[in-house]
Amino acid sequence: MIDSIKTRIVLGVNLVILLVLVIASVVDYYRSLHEIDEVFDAQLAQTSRLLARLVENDPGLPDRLSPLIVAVPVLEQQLMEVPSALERLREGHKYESQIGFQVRSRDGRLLLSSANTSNTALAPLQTGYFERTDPDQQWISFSLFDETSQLWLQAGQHIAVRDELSWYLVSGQIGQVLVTMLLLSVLIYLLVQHMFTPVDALRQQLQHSSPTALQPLDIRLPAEIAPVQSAINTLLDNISQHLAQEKRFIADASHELRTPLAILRLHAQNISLADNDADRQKAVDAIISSSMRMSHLVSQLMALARVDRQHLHQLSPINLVQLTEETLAQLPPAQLDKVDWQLDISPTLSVQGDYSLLRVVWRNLLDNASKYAPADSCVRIRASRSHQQIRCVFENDSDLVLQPDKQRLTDRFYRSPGHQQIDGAGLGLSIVKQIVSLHQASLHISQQQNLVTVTLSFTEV
Amino acid sequence: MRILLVEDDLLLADGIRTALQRLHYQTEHCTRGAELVSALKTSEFGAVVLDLGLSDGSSLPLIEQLRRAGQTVPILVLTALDDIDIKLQALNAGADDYLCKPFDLRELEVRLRVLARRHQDRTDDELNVAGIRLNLVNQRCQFAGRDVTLTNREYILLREFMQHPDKIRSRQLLEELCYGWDGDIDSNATEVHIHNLRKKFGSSFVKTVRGVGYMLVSQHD
Repeated sequence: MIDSIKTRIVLGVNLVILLVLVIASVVDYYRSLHEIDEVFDAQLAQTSRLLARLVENDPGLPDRLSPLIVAVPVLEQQLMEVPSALERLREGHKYESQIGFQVRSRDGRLLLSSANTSNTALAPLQTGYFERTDPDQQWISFSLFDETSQLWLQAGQHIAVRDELSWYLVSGQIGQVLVTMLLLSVLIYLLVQHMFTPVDALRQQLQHSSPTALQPLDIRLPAEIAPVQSAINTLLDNISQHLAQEKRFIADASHELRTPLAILRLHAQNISLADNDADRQKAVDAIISSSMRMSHLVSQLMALARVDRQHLHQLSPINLVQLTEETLAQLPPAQLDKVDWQLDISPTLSVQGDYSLLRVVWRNLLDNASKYAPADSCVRIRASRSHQQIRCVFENDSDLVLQPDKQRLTDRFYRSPGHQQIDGAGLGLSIVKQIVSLHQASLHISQQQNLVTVTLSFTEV
Repeated sequence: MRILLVEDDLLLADGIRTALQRLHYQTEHCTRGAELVSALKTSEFGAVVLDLGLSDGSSLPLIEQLRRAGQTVPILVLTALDDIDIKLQALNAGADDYLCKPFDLRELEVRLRVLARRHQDRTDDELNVAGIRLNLVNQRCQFAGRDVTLTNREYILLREFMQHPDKIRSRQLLEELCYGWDGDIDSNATEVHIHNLRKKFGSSFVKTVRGVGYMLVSQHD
């Protein structure tokens, strides 16, 4: 199978044209042969009639003892094809040897003959056309019996004349088809080449586009390929966005890992320089807490990366009481015991969602609530249904003032000023926001005096 | 030389502070830009180490504000972003140098020393005043052709005097150099150190300016 459309078009069109030309030529050939046959046949009949009139005026002819031979000049066949005018010699024409005539008596005795047919009978004695097919004497002839003179008049033509003529016709046709085909193929090739210029341009632009700077394609294309270009452009745009997102993620990640790395390095150097156990222990503690911070950061980064790439596939009903209790059970004991947890959720209330992702949301929100709440304060988790909305509210006390611009709280790596002494990577709410929007739900954060409220609103399906 | 460290990551700040103190740099720490401004108003510092990524986003405007106000203290910027644009912004705003996290402690110390050298119009780290030679790289001190052994605080005080010859160093400054803001000090402690230095470099070493402080005179009449 040929892969190139260009080659297919060129070959296909050429084949179709060749077929049409061949059929036309064959039809033409047979029609020409038929016409030639008709003309020649008519000529034979006319010659016979002319002979009849001529011999009528020669009363001595029937009594001749030996036939009268009409000489035919022997002219050499020229090997080279020359124009007809040059073949018309003063002596006659070379084809005269291919045409003959005979006059016979009623009983068949030869009375008059052209020299080239003096030794053979052109046809039996019967009126009309006759085709003699002896291998050495192939003649087409017309015989006529003249009642007045009681003579047979026969005019013949050697089949070779017609064969030669048909060969000329065939070779002429073949030549014509070949020349036409050659010309047409070149033209078709050029035309197809020209029509495919935009496709080649498209290919070249795609080949030369750099993966680091994807530019949209802007080639004037025919209507059939233009949608391909726009589809490619949409894809390029998506890829660019995806690359930018990945790049930002990598930049963010490397940026955020630099500080804990600096802490590790600094305190490690401090250990090697320390001159007392207390300083050494302090550095070791710092290294431990920095490495814990790093592992938290890495796991949060991984979660974020997963959520970034995730599409929700299968949603299932998730019971909110179960979700909350299971998440609480997974909190570190110190965090779990730090505050009083108050749950106010109807046991039957559930939302449609991805269980593992909602677990991440709950984990982050409960983790934040206990981290930022003062010890022994109360964290409330409420869920209710109203107006086809399921609202989940997480409330905790906090002495810390949130950034007035609550939007920034969900920015990646953003941490409110003054929250630095509380461990965190600044990614939790960003992850929550991503997952919540994947669920077509909304996230709202507010603070009234010391009460921080995080509200998730799911639309009930 | 006192260093003012502005860094809101407490673990990092603690590590830097410990390290610099060990290298004889009294280091004060604050976490916010506003604290930096008031600290520079009330005390004298040899250099500021400023984290560019303060969570309130105040670092760059802060540098510009300080420079507009005529503050010439050398500022070394710490940044977690190894990004040329950020570096250029910081330097254009008036920072003198930058260091990307994670950094080597030795590099931080050398850069601070170089900043001080440049700020004090010196070409090397060998101070030579009033017959005393003090090498800031290896902390070697020579006087009258002999090596002199110094305690940590004596070294800090001697360096301060030699870096600012013929200039009065206030008692408060010297106390803060030795003990920091929150240092628990006996008011006579500094005088004790000065007394010890005089024992090592002769009684004419540093002149007492009554009620104000002390001054190292470079040329004896």
